[in-house]
Amino acid sequence: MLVAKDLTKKYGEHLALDRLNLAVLPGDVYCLLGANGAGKTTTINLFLNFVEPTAGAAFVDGSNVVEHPLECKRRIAYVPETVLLYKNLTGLENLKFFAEIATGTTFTRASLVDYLVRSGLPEDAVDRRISGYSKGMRQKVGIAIALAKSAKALILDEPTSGLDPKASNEFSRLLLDLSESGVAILMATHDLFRAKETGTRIGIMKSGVLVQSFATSDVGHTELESIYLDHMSD
Amino acid sequence: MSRSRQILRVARHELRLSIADRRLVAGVCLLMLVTGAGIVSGTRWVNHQRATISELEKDERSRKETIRQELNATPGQTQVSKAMPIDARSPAIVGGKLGSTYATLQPKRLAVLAIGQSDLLPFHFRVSTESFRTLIDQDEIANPAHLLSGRLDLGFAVIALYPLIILAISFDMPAAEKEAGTFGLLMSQPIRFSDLILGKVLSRFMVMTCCALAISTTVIVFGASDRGDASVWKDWSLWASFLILYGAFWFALAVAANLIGKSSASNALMLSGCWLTFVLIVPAILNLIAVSAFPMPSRITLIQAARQATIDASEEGSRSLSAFYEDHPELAEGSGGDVDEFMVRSLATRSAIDEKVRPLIERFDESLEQRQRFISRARYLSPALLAQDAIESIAGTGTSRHREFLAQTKDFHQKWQNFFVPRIARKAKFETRDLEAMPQFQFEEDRFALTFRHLLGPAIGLIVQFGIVLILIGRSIRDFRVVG
Repeated sequence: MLVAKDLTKKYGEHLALDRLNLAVLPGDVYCLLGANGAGKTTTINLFLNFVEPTAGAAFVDGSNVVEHPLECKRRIAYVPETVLLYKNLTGLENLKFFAEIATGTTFTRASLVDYLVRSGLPEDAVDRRISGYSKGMRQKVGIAIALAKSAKALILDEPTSGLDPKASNEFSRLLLDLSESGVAILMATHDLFRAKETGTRIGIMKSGVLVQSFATSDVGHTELESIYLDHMSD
Repeated sequence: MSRSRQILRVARHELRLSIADRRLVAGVCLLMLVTGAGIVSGTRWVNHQRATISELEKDERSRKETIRQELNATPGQTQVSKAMPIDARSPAIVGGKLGSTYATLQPKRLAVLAIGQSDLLPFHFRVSTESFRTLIDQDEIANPAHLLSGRLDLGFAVIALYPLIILAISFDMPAAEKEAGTFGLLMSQPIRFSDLILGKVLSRFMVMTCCALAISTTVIVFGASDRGDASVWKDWSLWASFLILYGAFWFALAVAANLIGKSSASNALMLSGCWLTFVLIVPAILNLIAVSAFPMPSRITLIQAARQATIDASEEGSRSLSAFYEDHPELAEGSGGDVDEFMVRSLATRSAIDEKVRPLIERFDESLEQRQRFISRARYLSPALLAQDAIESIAGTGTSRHREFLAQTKDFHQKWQNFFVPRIARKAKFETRDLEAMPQFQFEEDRFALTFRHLLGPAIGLIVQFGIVLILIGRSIRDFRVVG
């Protein structure tokens, strides 16, 4: 579903991503681990066509993101690190707007409320302004947008950053549900624990290079941390 | 997924955001307030003009009636006094102050929308056998800056404030999304960036344009006495077209700045600079160039020349009279009393003065003409000047219509002279049939029909300027990056 082939990005002389090759299949939860500046966000930006690759290509469901940007965006849902919505509108109004832009169809109030509740948002919060939402609640609206979009792929950038353990756990369960329904998930994260709990594959990035990639089931929590720290200290 | 529907979705969403944000509401309220005040001011001024003209016409009718009564009275009953002669049988008296007529310029139907400089330019002249000079304050050509110091009218609101409000609600279109953190989420959706911008502009454009048009339509519907006349609506549609075109330019400029700028603050700075440049600085510089490149004789110079000419003519005395009859031998007939002789001498003296002063007036007119031509070409550097020109032409308050009024008044003055001078020179007696045959001024609007020609220049100019900004937008959109 999400494929990177020799994906490269240079900003001037700085090589932000160096010949990345990865594949995220339907049902996979691929966790990209790495320090700040490792190239995780650049990878995401390339899949979303926010920047164009210097070399190589990114594909979504077989379509090149640069050649078919709108087609690819129809199939992807994106949840940024900080889900900032329109603060003067309610959660429901925000979802309505993004869902309609995402799908080109109109949604009933009932269906929108359903998406929000399925995302874990309390029903009594749907008509409150976003300015009164916590980070976790806004994150849930972001997931609700992904649900409403019926996206085949989900890209998340540091989704559990700033979430308390309970919210983080709820989030992980949501991801697993989506994964079980066949959505391909690519997640950039620092959270080793959550990556082991939720992920099916892990890729470790350093200085724009994917230095190691393996199945989550092949390692334990301690081993994962050890591998990660070994790469970071090189 | 239809593009137009996506654009409309964005537009609806923007409207909802703008109402919640209250900035658009504030902008609309300000626009309504200023345009409302402008309409009131314009209506007052137009009513003043109409009332003044009505008073002048009443005065003229009254004097004509006095003349008629004098002419119909028996000879012994005429009132002749050396101190205050009102001998209606003297063509010099009738052609002078007693029977003088007024050349008036009635305000056009849409004049209430744009006073322009009509409050600086005279809209009535008294025409008599006295010399006619039009050395009025036309040495500074139309400058929107004048509008800032003159009467508040809808024209001022459109030319100067309307763009400011447009810029105030548009300076941070994608920048606000970036700064609010919603841009990434939005651009990850299947919508073109150009459609996003179009949707954002559309909501603002529709609201602003509808408000401005609503105001001017209300004025026509409730204010114009001849609103059933099709030509009023024709003028209104021209007004609406220029309003839309002018607004479109400023919205396009806001979009261009949003694409080039990095933050809403830098956009605001850039756009403020553009407003200052186009609305104030460029017109001021053009006026400065016009004044420097085409200097005109001052009013003081003309007054001094006229005074000197008067002294010279008085000294020349009967030589002026002889010279006059030499130039007009056909008028050297008839005999009359001392008063008639005095009147002919006076006529000859005036003619001699006019002759001496004519070169100065011709220099003035020529310089003014050169300035007008310069500004007519240079106005394409500023959309504000073009829009002002168009709006004032449609409202009938621009300098072009006034120049036509002056030209027709001059022609009429000549006609007046041609009617009275032979009678004065022949020392003929003024009669009732002469009273009925006296020339009457009627401004021929047909000679100044609001032809396509008057508005074609400003229309093309604004379209070209809009096009240039669109090209800039096209290039900038290609280079615009969601991140970095």
